[in-house]
Amino acid sequence: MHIHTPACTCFIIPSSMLRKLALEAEEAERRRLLEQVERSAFLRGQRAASGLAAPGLLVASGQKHRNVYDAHHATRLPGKLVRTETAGPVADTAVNEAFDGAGATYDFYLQVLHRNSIDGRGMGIDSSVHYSKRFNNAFWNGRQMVYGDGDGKLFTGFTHALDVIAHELTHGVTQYTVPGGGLVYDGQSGALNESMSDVFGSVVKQWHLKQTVKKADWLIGAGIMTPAVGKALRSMADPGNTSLTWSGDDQPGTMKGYVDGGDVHTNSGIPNHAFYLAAMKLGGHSWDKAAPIWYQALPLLHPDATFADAAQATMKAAELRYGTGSAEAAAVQGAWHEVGVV
Amino acid sequence: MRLSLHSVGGFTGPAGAQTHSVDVDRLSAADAARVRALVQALDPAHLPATLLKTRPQSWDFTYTLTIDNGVERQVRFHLDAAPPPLRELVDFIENT
Repeated sequence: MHIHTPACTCFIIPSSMLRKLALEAEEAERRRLLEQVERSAFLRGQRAASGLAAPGLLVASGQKHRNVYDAHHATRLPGKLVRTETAGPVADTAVNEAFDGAGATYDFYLQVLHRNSIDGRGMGIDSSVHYSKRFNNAFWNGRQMVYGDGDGKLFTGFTHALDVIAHELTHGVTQYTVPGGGLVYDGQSGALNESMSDVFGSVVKQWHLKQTVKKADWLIGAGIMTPAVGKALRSMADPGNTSLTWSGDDQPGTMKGYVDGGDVHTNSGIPNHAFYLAAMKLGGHSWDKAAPIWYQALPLLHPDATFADAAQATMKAAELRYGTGSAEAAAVQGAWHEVGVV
Repeated sequence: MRLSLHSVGGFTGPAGAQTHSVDVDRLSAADAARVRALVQALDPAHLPATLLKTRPQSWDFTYTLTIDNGVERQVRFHLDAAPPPLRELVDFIENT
């Protein structure tokens, strides 16, 4: 008789119990339990995203697998392979920028958050440049990065902005980490999806530039617009401040400005600002405390998560990392309170 | 007949929304015939106003196609929820 082993990743101790134990434990024990919670949640996210059982422990880290393709202004992907991991720079600046930006983002996730690539299992990072004609956008298509060149009137291109690259790659991280296959791209969960990408887009840029939270510009997409149009697409420090961004910036920074039925790129200003406030309260570098808290909250979310769910998840993550009643947990709660979510 | 395709999504969202328009009467005879056949297959008079996924992902651009053939019809859709003729029209319009 053939014995079928069901494709299932099972955990003897429920995550809820591990979290409770962690809250009551001493520092060293708390961190050990916390890592177990993270890994359990991560594997659940993996299973949900892939529809397959996670194979167990994560694969060895540290090897990038980047490919860059040239779409030659068409829309069929990926296009012609023009740079691989083992080859040096090429004459095309966009190719090299896409390659380097993917590398910097990979390094951030590995060195700061101990995550091996987009899926946590060393997934190759493919990028296509010169997508379509005068294409004013960049996007993650569920499998790879895609960059337009901009039309030269509104946008000047996207590969030269590291936060754009990290933003889009983070959509992949969210896809693989939030149990259930990511955050549904509509309503508050969609705005959270956008916000998570803005958060890590900005943090990766700050990490690359070694900036403190006070030195950082907290702008998203600085330099991708023509000067006549604006300076940046969004501001996490002051959402909707058109003097910092561009004339069409309609982002609210608090729930008072929440737009019912608004675009995900509009209402994302609220959780963006919550992260900014938390990072400023926590001080130092955004990747020291604030970003790891937000990252740890990802597996605590679900596909239809609301802003309130995100507040609860980040507060829980802060408690798990630093303890109930800690200054860090209070900072996170204070940030969400200031934007009117809790 | 005129076709207009508006798309929103990606990093830029509404800021980078793009519109492509095609005047079918100005296309080559072969292309015009192909487009008219696709529009006919779509049956604009009975096309629902929206063909959206219930659980879209970050890579799902939102398209709006306007068909002006004396009478104006509009459909808002995600590519994955669109029937093959509509997807083919998008491909044609975006690459024209």
